[in-house]
Amino acid sequence: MTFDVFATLLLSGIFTGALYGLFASGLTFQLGSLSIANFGYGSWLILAMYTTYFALQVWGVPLVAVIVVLPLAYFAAGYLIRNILLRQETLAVQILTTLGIAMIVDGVIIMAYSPAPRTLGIVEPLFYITPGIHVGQLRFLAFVVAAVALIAFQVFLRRSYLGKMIRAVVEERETAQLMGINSDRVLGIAFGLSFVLIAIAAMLMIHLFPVTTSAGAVYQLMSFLIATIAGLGNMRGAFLAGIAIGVLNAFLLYFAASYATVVLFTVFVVVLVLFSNRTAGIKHI
Amino acid sequence: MKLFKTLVLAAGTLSLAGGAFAEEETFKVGMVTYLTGDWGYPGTSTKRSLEIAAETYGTVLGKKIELVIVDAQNPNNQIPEAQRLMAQGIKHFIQGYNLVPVPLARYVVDNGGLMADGTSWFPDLTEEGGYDNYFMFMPSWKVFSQTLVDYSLKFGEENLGKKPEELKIALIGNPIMSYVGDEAARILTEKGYPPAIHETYGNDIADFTPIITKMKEAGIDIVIPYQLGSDAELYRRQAAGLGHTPPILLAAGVGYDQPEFANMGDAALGSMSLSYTVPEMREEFAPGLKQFKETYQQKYGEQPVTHGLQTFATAMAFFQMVDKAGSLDIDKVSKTMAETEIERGKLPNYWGVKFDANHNNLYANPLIIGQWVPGENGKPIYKVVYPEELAVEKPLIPYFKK
Repeated sequence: MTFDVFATLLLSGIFTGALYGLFASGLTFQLGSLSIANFGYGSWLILAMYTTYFALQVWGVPLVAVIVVLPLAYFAAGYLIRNILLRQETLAVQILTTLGIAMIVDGVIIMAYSPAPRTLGIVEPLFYITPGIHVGQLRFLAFVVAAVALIAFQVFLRRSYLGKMIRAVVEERETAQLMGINSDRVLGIAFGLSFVLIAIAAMLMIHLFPVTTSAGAVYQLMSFLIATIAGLGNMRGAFLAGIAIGVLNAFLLYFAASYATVVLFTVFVVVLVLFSNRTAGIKHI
Repeated sequence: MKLFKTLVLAAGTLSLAGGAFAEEETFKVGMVTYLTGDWGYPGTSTKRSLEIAAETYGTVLGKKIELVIVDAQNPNNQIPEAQRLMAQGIKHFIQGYNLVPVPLARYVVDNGGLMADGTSWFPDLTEEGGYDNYFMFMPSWKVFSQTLVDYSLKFGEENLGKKPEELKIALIGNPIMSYVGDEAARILTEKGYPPAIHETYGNDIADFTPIITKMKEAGIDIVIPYQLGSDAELYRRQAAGLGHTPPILLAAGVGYDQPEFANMGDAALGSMSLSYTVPEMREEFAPGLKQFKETYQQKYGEQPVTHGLQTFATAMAFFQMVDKAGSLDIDKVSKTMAETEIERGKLPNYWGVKFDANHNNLYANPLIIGQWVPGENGKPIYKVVYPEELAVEKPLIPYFKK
């Protein structure tokens, strides 16, 4: 393997992995910080991908309008779901409710958009660092957007008044309530914000990947894998774990594509066994 | 006398009622497919095509054809749905698009039904033998793999001027289609020309850069992808971006002959795909094809896909055979189907029908090759380029001049 090939694979893995990290960050926030097991995560992700596709390709909506409206709509959806359907916080109710919602979302996708696979069909232009080392421009852009979105989210949680309220409710809900914070409202907003992350990830992903009705399950699994490796609730960790998986995957695909999935999930199992406390609901926010 | 009149009236009433019932009697044909869910798109195409076949053919043995088409959504529901239909007395089935068609066909036949299978390429029942009421109209996937190898070596030799042992062949694909790729690799290896690269990647692949880089480094002459729609599309787009233009790309159908493939624009160009006969082939050799395409377009605003065409042709042949049997009795229909011979060029899919002892269709050939070339509006268009009798254009090999 030449250095050029090595560098190209490394960069390709980093930039693709960053996107993994972004789409997993919403789930890790929901699972770890908000203690909501959202089994409909993948379905919401592909609904946003289909909607972006139709908005841009079929309805002729300008990209700027999609960038504004879709996250707002997703915020509203997340807020309403948390405060109407997921107020009951037992795990069994969450699983059943989110699975039920996922089935409805999948049905809506098929009825509204048909089950046909959709793609924006963009041939990604390359950005050459040297004549032999290149990266996809869209992947690079996705990396930047993902990094900015996640940093902004972290800054919001740490610096803003609302962000501090979210952290307070997540860490000590009863105390926060005694201090006059409306915890339901705050958790609704937090869940809505995690849906904004889904919308951002989906808008980026549809520019790179085709979307199919079966993709939700794959994204759900991949998000869970990344969230677990990162440690539930650890969004910065999710971003880095996404990158690590992206890089590992890139080299596995080059050397032995047939074994890439097996190796990845073996890593997942090893991480689960060695660091099982990461799945114990640690609230890193 | 009064009693006589009463009897006459009663008899008259009964005969009228009987006549009315007789008029209402229909020829019920079942289909279990996916109308929603992940495979709803090709499934819907088979449903629509069966409906057009029933409308086009009219009546069988004087009875209106009544289609009972159900949505299994996924493989788990296929048999329960078939069970439900058979409980309603439906015995005659046309296979719809199904991901796991063999258990469904086996269930129907084991329970006294008959399955005319015009979409599946799994030869399990015909290989096992003894399934008298199962008829496989399609060629098997093994024929597909063999033909992929044969055509690849032929094109490589004729168009690239390389002997088979000099050709560098890469087989890449999805686990769902791996049996096709593995069989092609086995045949190549058996012939003494093992593939230079043979990789079956995971369903979750999001980046083809590593595989494309590897193929570029290896100087691959022929790429044989066995992919589904989404990974085929992603591969071609990334290949175009990375300037990966193998002299020959001959795909194992599926992802490469769907209309959506054109949406990626220039990245689709040059790709060839081995398929069943397709709606885009020359119409003059396939009577009824033109009308079928026009009706489909008129009703649904789009063109049928290959599974739709095969369902239409199978249904038209099946209705003919039932008429010829003169009875709906399964044994009589089965016997007639086994004895029937329809020459090539008489059905809308061009292929003919002649079943061997295990009910493989000996006339389900040739397989065709389509190629994506520039269309009039700049959007890629899929044209049949091989074999000559069905081709509308000649293949462009290599498509990309170095």
